[in-house]
Amino acid sequence: MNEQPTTAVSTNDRPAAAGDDLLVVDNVQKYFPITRGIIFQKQIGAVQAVDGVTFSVKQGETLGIVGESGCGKSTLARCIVRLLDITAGSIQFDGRDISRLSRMAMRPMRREMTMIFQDPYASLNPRKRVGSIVGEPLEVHGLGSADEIKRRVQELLEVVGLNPEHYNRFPHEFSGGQRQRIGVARALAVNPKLIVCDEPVSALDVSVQAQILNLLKDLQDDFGLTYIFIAHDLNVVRHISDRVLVMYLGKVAEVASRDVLYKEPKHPYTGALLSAVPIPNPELGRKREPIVLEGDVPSPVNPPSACRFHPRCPRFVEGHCDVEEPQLYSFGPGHVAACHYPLERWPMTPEEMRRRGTARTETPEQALQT
Amino acid sequence: MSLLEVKDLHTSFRTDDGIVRAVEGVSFEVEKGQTLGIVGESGSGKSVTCLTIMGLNPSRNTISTGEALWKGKNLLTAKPRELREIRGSEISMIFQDPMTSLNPVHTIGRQLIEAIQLHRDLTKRAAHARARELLKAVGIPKADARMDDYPHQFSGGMRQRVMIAMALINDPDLLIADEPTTALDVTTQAQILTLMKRLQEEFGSAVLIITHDLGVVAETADDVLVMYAANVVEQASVDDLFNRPQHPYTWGLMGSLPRLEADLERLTQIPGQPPSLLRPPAGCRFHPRCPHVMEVCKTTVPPLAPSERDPAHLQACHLDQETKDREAAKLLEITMAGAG
Repeated sequence: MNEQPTTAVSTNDRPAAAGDDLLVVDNVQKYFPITRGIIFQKQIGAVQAVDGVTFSVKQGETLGIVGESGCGKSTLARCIVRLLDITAGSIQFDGRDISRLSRMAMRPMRREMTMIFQDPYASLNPRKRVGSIVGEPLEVHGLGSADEIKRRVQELLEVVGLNPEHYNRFPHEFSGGQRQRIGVARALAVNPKLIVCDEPVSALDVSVQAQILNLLKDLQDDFGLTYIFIAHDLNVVRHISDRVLVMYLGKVAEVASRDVLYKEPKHPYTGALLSAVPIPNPELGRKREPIVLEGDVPSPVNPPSACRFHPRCPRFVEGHCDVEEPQLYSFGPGHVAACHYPLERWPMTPEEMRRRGTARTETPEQALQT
Repeated sequence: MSLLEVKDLHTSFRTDDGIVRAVEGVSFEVEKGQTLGIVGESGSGKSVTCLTIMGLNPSRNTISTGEALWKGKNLLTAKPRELREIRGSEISMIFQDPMTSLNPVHTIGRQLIEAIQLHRDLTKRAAHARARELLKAVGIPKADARMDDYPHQFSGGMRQRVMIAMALINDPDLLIADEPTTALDVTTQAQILTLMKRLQEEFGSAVLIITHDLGVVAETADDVLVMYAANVVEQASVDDLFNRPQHPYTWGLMGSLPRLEADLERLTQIPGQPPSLLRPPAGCRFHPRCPHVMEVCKTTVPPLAPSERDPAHLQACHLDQETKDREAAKLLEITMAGAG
């Protein structure tokens, strides 16, 4: 971090070494209550947006989170940066439990973790100039005088590939890709350790998307950033991530390092997702037969029993998958998947997928020992 | 005679800031049973091309010239009444956003029946039966009961199925699908694309699919048109386009895609932004972003001409054939690395 600016002095006296867990998310639940009545609001149910998610992110790595819309990935992101309070579980950031911190106690932590939002049109205040948008986090945290902040903002604009002279422009004077660069500059302003990127490129055109992905990679190399990268596009996630977490209806379906997940997926849902991605190569595309899932993602208000994927799963076994919830079984170092009947190999045709093998029956502890 | 023949189509809009030339000189043909894909980024003119063919641009500030011959009849000069008769029966359209293209205050059944009765002299009962049949054909479970549901009771994928049912209800000869899966998740997208393919085989209609996703094009189209800043820059069969791309913009698009089947350390990005159509650059529209730019590109517009290797492969670029072959081979090597 030789480009560490003078305005942002690290307040952290025990910085995490490379390889240490920067963020530990333990069994996090986020339920949104559904209430009835006006005066006496009686809770009649809950949207189980995130239900028992556990994972960790190491210093300097990129964890990709994929899943369909409504699977709880954005809710999870908002829980991690404490824009939402979690219902149960704990979140440890840099060795400290932040899940119960008060607003005031949380404030200094907000310098350490920032967020890049999906829609570059909606996430920038149209009435503010670029200088004050990017400089606001610095002002809020009292990092430097007005002059220093201005210098730092211009430096940041340059870092993200914008002209520092555009300091006084308004967001509407920029294109979508440039706006997202402003969003990146703002997230970078306070020298965070962790940046949570919630679908940062999905609103952009392909050619501009590549620019932003390259920029995020360069910034990670230059500043040693840690990313949580949320997207629904598996190609994008594969490109940027070191490890990937697949979510389905508020739960973790599978976690693995990038190469393992894309080459040897174990969860049928991961397999279906991979086979559904259109390949920009007509020859390869014709040879393969996509595994088409039936139906839609069920409602998280009233999720299916046991394995939440069972109503759509091609390997569904009656009396097992809908009765007993699968644990996260281990399939090698750092590779876990929640399925009783994991995929034996990959790729598979829809026909092979339906021919399921024997069930995993051992307890998770046993699985971890092998 | 082709089903649809578009010749030298130009569309411009008068705006407060000046005249926007959204489509400049687009020509293509669609044959019966064929799928033509139009790819391009937002603002490249792909949607406007289709809206012009369908006569759906606001007439107040739009000027269109050229010809769009539908079974020999020019749609651009057709009377509104004639157009209304063709739209929805012979040519139908699926729009990008299934959330906003259905009427929220009418039931699905009523909207489907309306589409039938506008064009055919059927009794309500027969129209109802036809609507139910189509809902079943597009894979909506419990089609009978769902006829009385409102759009908000359907999920995104289901609404897009309803849109497809509505588009197919009068057995159209041509289906125009404007980004039909962009608003959907991958698994739903796979469902919809599989469905469209199956229905095309069943009903034998031609399809014009507009998308920004090269993957979707590769999987659905027979022929592809690549558009950039209101111009067609390349036109070829799908295999030719992906195996021997001839235009620097197509190379850029292909290089900037992160892919499942190949390992790329870094994406080849196209620098800069697409130009404003109010003041497009002189010469080749792509020259400010092109890594191979030459002096001639800045002044002379390259014509859309057959490539030296294959007369059916049209491209608009001043580069010599050797460079193009070399670049195409280089790109293929990068993107195919690791592909099984």
